[in-house]
Amino acid sequence: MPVRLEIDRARGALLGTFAGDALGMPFEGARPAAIPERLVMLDARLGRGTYTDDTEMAIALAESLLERGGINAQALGRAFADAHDPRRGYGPGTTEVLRLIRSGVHPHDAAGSLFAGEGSRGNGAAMRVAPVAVRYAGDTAGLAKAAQDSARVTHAHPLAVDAAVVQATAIAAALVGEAPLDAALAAATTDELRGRLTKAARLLDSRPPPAEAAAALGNQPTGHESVPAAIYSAAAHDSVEAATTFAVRCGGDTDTIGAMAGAIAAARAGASAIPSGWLEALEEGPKGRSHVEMLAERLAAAGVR
Amino acid sequence: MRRETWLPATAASAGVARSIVRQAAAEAGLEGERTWDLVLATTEAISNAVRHGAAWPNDCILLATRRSPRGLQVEVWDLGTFDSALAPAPLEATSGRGMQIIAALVDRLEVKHEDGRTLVRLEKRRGSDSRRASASGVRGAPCLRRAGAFGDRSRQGGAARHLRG
Repeated sequence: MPVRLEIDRARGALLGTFAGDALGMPFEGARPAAIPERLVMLDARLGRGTYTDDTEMAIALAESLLERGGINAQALGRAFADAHDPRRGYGPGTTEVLRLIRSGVHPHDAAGSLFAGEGSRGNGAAMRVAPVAVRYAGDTAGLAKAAQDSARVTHAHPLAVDAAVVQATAIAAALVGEAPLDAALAAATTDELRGRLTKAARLLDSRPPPAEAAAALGNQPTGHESVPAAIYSAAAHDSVEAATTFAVRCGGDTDTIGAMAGAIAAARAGASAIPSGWLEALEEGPKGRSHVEMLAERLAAAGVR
Repeated sequence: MRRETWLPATAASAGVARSIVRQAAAEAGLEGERTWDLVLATTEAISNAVRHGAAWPNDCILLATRRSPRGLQVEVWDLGTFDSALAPAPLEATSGRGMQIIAALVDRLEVKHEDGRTLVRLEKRRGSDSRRASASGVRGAPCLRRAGAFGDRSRQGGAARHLRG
């Protein structure tokens, strides 16, 4: 693949996460009908174009991956705990896991202690997985292993882990020019993910509006009830703008579904295909847009085989 | 118009440099993809200066942007040696790939060492101007122009030959 396209797509996977997260954040919890048809960056929580826990954890994951040359559970747990800014809107499960990690508990024990030992089914492992996809694109086995390992640092439930692997696979497929939904279906190992992704494939024939897609696929903060809607959004729309907008308009966990769809769509089309108005609004600062771009470029270079 | 910014000689300055160059490129009318190229090339030049070069007495390196008739020039000034500016990095390195990647990304690259200062000057041209340059034979392969009596031409050629992609 031409190296410029490869770098552009790598940036797209991370900036697509960031842009979708920032676009969806003001509508978190909203019904699909309450979300406008055209999205612009709105002033909410920490300001216009700011990111939430999704991107903050993706940044920490990218940094840890680069520093360690792979997923190291303890290092990654510490990286998440160090990066944690409660104002970014973390869920209660992840907040508790990070508290335990900070107090010295091994991440696997911390993650496994949640929900009476079942572990979290949340989409927190899937939403942040784009850096893993960039690093391991083209290496199916390495990708699945790294996605699982990255998930288990905070999410022990098999559904959350499967959702992370499926989302990573969809992004990686987009990065190398393959169909995200087909790759996701082939990677899914749980009935819940396989069933919803099969439904998503059927929806490609009928192309329902966002509210109906959300009703069929889910728009909740669990992995298996949000990843299928994100992958469907990207599969059903060629442009980054259309895919990300549709994902946010599914309502519910809008920032995460937007981030995940944005990651896939911009991994396919490249960062240069993200609307310039969206990019220009993204927050800067030490861990802002430029930092995210550089992480993507370094991950792309690290992944060259 | 030429604008100068002193950046602390730390890795974090690459991000600041990106913002500055992105803004200057927009003002110079550089298209999106060309801006991405120049921003990445600037990042590499700053990383190179921070890692292999030497800071000015104020612990900074100097970044300058200047509109040229055909696009935008970016200059990175440090007090390192010429060799440090050309330090080759292995292709598997995750940063500091330096001149190899820079040369592939810009329309013109100049490396100069004079009076104890090292200058890396990059130029990216607007698409229409770049095509004109190419037609008249000016562009073609990225131009690694050597200035003064410093450096080793074979090493520069070597860097250019090892471009990825």
